[in-house]
Amino acid sequence: MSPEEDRAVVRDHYRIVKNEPVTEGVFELILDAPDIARAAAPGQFVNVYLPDGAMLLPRPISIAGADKNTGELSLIYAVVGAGTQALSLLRAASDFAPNTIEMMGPLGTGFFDYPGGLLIREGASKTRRVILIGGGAGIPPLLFAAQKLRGIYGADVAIAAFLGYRKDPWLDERFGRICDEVHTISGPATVVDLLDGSRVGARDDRVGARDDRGGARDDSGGARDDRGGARDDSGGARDDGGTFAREDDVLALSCGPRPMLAAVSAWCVQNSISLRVSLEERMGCGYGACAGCTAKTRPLNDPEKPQNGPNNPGPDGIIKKKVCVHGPVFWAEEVVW
Amino acid sequence: MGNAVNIAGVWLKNPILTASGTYNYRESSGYYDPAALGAVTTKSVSPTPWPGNDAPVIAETHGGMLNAIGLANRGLEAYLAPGGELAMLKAAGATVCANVVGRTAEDYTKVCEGLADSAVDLLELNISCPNVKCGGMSFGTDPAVAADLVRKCKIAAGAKPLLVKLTPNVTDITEIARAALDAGADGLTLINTLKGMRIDLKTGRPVLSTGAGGLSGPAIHPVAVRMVWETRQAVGDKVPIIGMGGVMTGADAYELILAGANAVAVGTAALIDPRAPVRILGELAEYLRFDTGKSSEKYSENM
Repeated sequence: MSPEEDRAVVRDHYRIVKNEPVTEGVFELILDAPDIARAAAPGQFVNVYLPDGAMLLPRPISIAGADKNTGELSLIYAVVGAGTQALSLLRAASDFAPNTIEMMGPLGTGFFDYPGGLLIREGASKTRRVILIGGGAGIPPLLFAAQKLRGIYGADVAIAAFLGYRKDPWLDERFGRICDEVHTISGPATVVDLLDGSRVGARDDRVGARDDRGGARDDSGGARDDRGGARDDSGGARDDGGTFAREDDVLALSCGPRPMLAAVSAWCVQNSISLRVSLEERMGCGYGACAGCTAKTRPLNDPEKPQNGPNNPGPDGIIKKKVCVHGPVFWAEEVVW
Repeated sequence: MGNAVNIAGVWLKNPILTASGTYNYRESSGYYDPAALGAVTTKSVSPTPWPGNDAPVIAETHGGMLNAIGLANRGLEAYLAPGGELAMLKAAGATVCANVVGRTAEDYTKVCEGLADSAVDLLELNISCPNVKCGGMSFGTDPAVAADLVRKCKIAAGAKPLLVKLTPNVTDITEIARAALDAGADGLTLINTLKGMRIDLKTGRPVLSTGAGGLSGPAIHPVAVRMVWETRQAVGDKVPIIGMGGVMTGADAYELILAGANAVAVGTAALIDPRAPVRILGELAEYLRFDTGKSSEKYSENM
């Protein structure tokens, strides 16, 4: 272990419990990995090493869920190239084939895992409001965030998910089991359109309206079914907002394609919502040795938003940080979009 | 373990080093004790901080990888500062080889001067990086230019042994090797990465932000074996040579030793597995145990 920090990064071969498609081109890999499952935090990732000498580099895959009791770790990944294609072909282990995959993790700085760790703290008295904004293959790590938030705060956290898909939704049901609200958009419209149509960013003059709608939701009983109906009415793409009016303690977490993150970041600035984003970059080692995956950042002078990594900007005011160790999760305001 | 090697007057407890740019104390030391290796070669040091190239700077290739990191580093001052890379490695008991880089001859000599009185054990002059616009490889492809730089740096480095890291991107690597030695180099390290490129089929444009980058990994191992062999043939038995290039296993390391290397550096393998250098050391020890001719010691001048 490094003298500076006690990192519980492990590397081993792990039994494949399941490796099946959840939708077209997206697979869920469940591994029997109790040590990683125990240490994993939402927003962190694992390095998956392919059993192929031609494809040397690890595939960094975000953690979609971890169960400390069963020791199971869930990775939900999109098949985007030869590496993830090869990964998708691996079969689950059986009595006759103890199929494993080599993996190292958990790696990186997650959504709540920043100096001071202000968000995840048990016994917080006031209700927390968290909005999760995901796009496509960036959605899975937000599921783990929702799982963790609910596990720690129980009913004291209100979670709304805003999910954008290219085609049909494929994780809504799982978000629905955890979140208070799930809003979905697909096709050419973006998740920012969804946020705009919601009342998350609404000002005080609209808060009153919230109660009315809240009541309406209760009446409907099966809120999810109702929502589905509403979505069809609006042309199959848009879902309107729910009970999340803007509050000072709202925290937004986002993961998805970079243009989406930039747009979400601008939206959050406009609506005075603190946002943490998970960036993606081509990685070499995934553990900070090669400095191959850098992001341009700016220092933030906000004690409420402590930052990881170096704090000495160059002459241009830019600090290059390693996405793999100082991130992948950053404050949206520190990222140079 | 009886496999100590002498490189230009500095004893390495064993013949395995890290290759520059693949070890970072803060991130790597959690995985193994850096004092367990013969030496740790640290990331390039330039006189002032270098930001490196913008992402993407990593691309996978068949049996290898391209990088265009561009020698991003925090500069000489940070390297030498209390709590900096050098201080931490020395406190851990490691033998340290500093990789020196610059855009101009003055840059190189400034770093060599700065390190001359430091705790660094060896200097490695990087005249072979393909990823910087000026400096780097431009000093390593012309024998006269290389010789002039080595001459200046040898003076600047004072008593520190000066190794010169050679590029494979030349017609005849032995020409540069001879020129560097004639100019006063105390030893050679080879090979740096091979210049390569990958193109994204969807966009039709290079994957790396810089266009081309440096190829490393097992794909280049045979090139390294050939070049170490040729260089050893050309420079004779007395010159210390640290071989590197795609070493993934103890067998790969031993092959470079058989080709003529006194010691071997592990680079890309450590990016894939942080513990690779110590694993490879263990595997190599098995080969050396049965190597009655002690290939790695055969070329050490002080044996």
